[in-house]
Amino acid sequence: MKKSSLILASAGALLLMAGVYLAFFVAPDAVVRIDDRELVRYSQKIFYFHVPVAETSFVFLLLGGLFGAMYLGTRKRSYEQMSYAAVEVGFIFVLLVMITGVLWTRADWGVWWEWEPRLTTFLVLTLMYSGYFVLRSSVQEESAKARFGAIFSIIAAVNVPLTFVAGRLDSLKPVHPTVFTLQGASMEGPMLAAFLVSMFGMLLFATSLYIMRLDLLRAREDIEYLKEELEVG
Amino acid sequence: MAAGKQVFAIVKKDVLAELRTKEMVIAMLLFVILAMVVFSQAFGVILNDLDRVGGGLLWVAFLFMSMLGLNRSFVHEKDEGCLEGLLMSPIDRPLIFFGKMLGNLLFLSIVELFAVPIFFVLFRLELGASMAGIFLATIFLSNVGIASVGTLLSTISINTKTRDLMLPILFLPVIIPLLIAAVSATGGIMSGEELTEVYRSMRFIAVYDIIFLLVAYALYDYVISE
Amino acid sequence: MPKQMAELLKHEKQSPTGAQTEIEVAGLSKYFGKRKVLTKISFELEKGGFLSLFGPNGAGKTTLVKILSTLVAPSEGTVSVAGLDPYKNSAAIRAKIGLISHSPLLYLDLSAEENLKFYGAMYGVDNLDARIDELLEQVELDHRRYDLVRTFSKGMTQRLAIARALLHRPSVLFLDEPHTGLDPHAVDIFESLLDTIRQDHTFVMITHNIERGLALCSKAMILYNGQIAFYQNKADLDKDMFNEIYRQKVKGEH
Repeated sequence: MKKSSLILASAGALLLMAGVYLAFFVAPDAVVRIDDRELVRYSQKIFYFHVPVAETSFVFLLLGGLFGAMYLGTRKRSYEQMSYAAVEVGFIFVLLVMITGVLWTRADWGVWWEWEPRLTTFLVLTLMYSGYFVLRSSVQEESAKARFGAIFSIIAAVNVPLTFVAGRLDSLKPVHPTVFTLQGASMEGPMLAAFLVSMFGMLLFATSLYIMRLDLLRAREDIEYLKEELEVG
Repeated sequence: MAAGKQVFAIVKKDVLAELRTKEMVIAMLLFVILAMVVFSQAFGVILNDLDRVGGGLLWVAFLFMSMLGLNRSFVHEKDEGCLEGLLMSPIDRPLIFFGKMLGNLLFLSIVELFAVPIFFVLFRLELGASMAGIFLATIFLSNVGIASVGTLLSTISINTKTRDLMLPILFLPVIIPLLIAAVSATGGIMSGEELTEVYRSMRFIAVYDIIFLLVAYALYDYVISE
Repeated sequence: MPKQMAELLKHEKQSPTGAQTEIEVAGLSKYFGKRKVLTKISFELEKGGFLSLFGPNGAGKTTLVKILSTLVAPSEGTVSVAGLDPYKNSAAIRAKIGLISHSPLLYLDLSAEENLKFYGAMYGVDNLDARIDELLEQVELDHRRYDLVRTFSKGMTQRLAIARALLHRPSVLFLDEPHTGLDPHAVDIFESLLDTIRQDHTFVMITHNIERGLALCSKAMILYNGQIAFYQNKADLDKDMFNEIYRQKVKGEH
């Protein structure tokens, strides 16, 4: 493992652990009143991880599209590898959003799945980016694989915000809790601190994954190339 | 003006070939009617509430039908090497997109022009004349998006190993935002909702159309040339 | 062999053969990542010349022709076709080149005339109707003008493909395995047609057919693994060496 990714991964891990501590011991508990009794809803704690995971996934999916566009513009192989690695990391985080989201709906709403706009949006993203990987594996020639991968990563990245807006078109009010509105975040003090620590921890962790993956892709290409050279020579 | 002539020639050629065989349009129309029959049999119970679910039913049928045509559209180009012939000519790449896209839009709209009245008769729905105009406008607006995204993605899918199997996997997730808006608009019209809600959905569809027309315009060169 | 090849290349650079150069390729490489598809290809082809391109599948023949016809951009090196840079003037070059391939590049559900009219619109051919009359007569398909290409025999389709390729009066013609799938009779007709247009065109032909390839060419080249393995003028072509290299590289015998 490269030094840079090791440092990033450790820093991310430390921040995430700090996030766990802050979320459980510092941030205020969510309390509901049922009759006269006060109930603490610990399931709300997943918010400190679920939301950072979701935002990290956006960052990397959009980066994937951006690097894809740079590859098409320059035809430099490295941009294509960056695009692919970013989409892969983004996809892992989309899956994590799905998993944490399903856990939360089960704990809070008592169902495994709810056709709620935001959950549905992530399901659509999961399927769309699965299509990205299926597309790549369905093209044989390396240069065409890179080209179509880059093109679809752009189309998909453009479609991410559209999917989100479309999910809100329905006049039915979403049941998903909203923290961020156009007026800013409705968080303050310890809650915000816990959230921000988790957020940065998640981003650092994802970046370290991205760097490792990129190194692996490059190493794999070098090996493929050497193998070919040996065969020919 | 040369550009207009080239785009027109591509559309004309597709229409001529289709007029000769009629295979695509007829298959699409039959498919759409069959889909309606399948729905009516599968969801018999809730058909009393058709005002609400009718829009969704129509769009599912239209989306799957459109993929039949989109796949077909490039199989013809690819099989005898015509796409290569087209690429060797001095035409600007985005013009190829606009030619193919307009052809697909035309076929889609023609089939729907027959399918919509059949849909209304089969499910005993009624619309006033003023509403019918907005209804058709919504469908046409959505067709622009379907044809744009579909033409772009079917050009990609035709170059993969699995060819026509690939298109739904790429096309459906990308088209879902448009589907949501189209269902909401047509559903709103049929259930007599406030028109402001309907217009909001139609505006979204228009934005979606413009965005993907621009994306296709920018990317098409990379899609078809190496 | 490499020494002789180098001499030939040097010779060309020093004294142009008198005729105008139609295709000039210098230090052309194409790679993807570290994978090289073409490595340092250099050659010249004079106006009216005929280059036959041999080599095993995957040697880079198709990529070379695609680069010459502006469909693929080179990674390194310079290319000029009819005095133009394919990458910068791609539309201008495409207007000057034609392609005759093993697939006909024709729409089966359109008639011969409709096909030519369609491509005529793509190329913006002047006096299209007169040009179509002239070409259909030349390839002897006048009587099948309104028939669908679907009903044509392989030989007839190939003749129409030639008419299609000549429609916009290209000065350079690329032939991509044109003999594939043709019966001997169709080959005769094809080559006599080729003969009539030989004078005013420059040809680059990809082929696996040694006999026809060598008979038609003015220069022969074998590509192997993205590099030139053999390149000689036909006038002083060393047939034994050609056969030896062809046997080794293309057929993979040692």
